Amino acid sequence: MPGMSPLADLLAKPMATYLGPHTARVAVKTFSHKALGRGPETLTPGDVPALAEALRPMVRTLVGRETCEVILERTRRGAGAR
Amino acid sequence: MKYHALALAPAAWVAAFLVGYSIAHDPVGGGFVRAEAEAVKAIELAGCALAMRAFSRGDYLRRAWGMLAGCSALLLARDAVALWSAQRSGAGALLADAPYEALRTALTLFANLLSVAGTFMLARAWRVAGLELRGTPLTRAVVMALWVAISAAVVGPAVLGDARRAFGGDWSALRWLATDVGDLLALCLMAPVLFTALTLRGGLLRWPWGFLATGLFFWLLYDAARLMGPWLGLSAGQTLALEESFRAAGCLYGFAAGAAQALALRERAG
Repeated sequence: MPGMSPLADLLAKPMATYLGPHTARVAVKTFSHKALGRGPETLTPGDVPALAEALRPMVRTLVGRETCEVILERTRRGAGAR
Repeated sequence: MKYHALALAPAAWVAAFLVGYSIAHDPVGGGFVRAEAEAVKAIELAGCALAMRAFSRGDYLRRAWGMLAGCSALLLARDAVALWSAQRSGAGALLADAPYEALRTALTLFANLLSVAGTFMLARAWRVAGLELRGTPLTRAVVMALWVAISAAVVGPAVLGDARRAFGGDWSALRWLATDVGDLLALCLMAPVLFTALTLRGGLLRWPWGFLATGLFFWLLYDAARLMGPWLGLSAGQTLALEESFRAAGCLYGFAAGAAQALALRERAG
């Protein structure tokens, strides 16, 4: 997706298993704008906790509390390992 | 592979049903058809219960699947009441027709309320989640309007006919009216369910929404079968076989949706 940084792609990856790659990237983009007021191309590792919190209600609605926590943990770990 | 098996299982079931139906010589919908209809409802209940149990307490979709499971359970209870009542009446019991009919109507009404509410929750999960559906708003609006029109054309005449009978004093028509209105409302929700499946393309969650949309499509065909039968020149027995095939497919794709939902959430361990 144009305008996606490698970090944004990395953040979308754990969600892509459930939501599909396109929707996962759209979710990162949407919630990046909503939570941080910036596009996904500007994301830095320091933005990951806030973005993960912003994504939580969306992910939880679709996969439930338990799976949501697994996904968000993978998201944080993936970004941290970068 | 598991999801593909879930997709194909209803077709295998319907093929087996049609073979059994032709062997059983059951053109009026006696024991064989009745037993098959109850079996698919029980299977659908199992699928919805699996999906419900895959979520934690308080989860949005746990409530949605719980409502669909409740619908199947109430319909099975209604059929059990009918069977029990018929047996007791046959034995000379004093169970009056009116209370028995009222109980069946109440169970049907609540089942349809749960069906519509559960389908509505699944149809608007994308909105609750804050996702954007695929397609332009215009495309979605056109498809939704078209689908509502098709559903109304198929189920509308039955709704009007049953409403006329019910308001004319035939209280037994209330049960059919509840079923028809419930069908109509649930069918109208197929478009957003389908768009959700398309939005989730490439992800595991496309399966439950995709199967749910397929099931709703077969429920539309089930409602249309009575109109299609005479139009296609089918006998009463052939129309019944067609109707029951669509009912089975509707119920079994409901099961597939629930099972796929449970499977998708289990994948996290992998």
